Amino acid sequence: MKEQELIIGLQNGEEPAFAELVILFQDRVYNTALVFLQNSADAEDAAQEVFIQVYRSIHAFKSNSTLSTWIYRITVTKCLDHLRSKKRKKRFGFLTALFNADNTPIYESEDFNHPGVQLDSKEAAAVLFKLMNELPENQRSAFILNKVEELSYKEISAILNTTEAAVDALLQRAKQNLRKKIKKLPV
Amino acid sequence: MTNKISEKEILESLNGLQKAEASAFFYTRLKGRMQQQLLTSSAKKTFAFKPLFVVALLCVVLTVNIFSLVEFKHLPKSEEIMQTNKSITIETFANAYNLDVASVYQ
Repeated sequence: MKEQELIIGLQNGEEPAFAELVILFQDRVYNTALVFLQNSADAEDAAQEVFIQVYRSIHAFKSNSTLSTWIYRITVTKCLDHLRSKKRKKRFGFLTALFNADNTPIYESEDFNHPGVQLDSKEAAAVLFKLMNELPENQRSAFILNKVEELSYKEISAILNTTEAAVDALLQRAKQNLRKKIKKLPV
Repeated sequence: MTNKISEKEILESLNGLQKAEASAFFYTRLKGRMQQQLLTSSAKKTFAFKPLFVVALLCVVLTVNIFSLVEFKHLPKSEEIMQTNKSITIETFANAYNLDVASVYQ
């Protein structure tokens, strides 16, 4: 099915079109969410939210951008929202209680290991993922889309609603910040 | 831990990263969640339009109206209250400053 046919099918509420869209994008959405959230359960939850959002707002989709760009944009927004709400919970959780209703701790301090990292780079990647969390949101988004999803500057600029020059600047600053943070790591 | 890992190694650790794949049951779970959301929202809507709920709400509104009509019927109207207040205020003021005396020479 071509993209235009897929969009028309989705706008008509056809289930096969929605199923095809999910199959086409589920890995890309899940992988992006996994790197942002660094937790497989949270990533699956966020990925589901992305497709629900797509289903609900497909009527508002205008063909100014590609379907892929639009879905990536929703994914980035959902992941950042997820992280902000997690941060908020952590901040207030400290004051109220150390445990959730089901007695599971709110805090996760374990190192994140992405399943796709090569075996000899696992330790270095775990450090990088930890440092990535300390980057500002826009730098982190650009870095993840470029390094993990291997998207071009043009695609990233369309997703983040900015220019290619701005994406380049964001990536340069992200790398500089990471270098500074690596130097500050305990030896 | 990091003493053995160089800056270059850390920054290049994501090179050749294989993409993680969503669970094989992702679509089934997504469909289940969407149906659940649909059921919850429609249940909320149907509750608001249930005849029993509507009749009960109407009864409450009518009772409050009748109660306020009965309770506040005997109270004076606002114009009357204003008139009384006005005369009381003027009389009190006149008495306090001895204004009922025609002249200061009296």
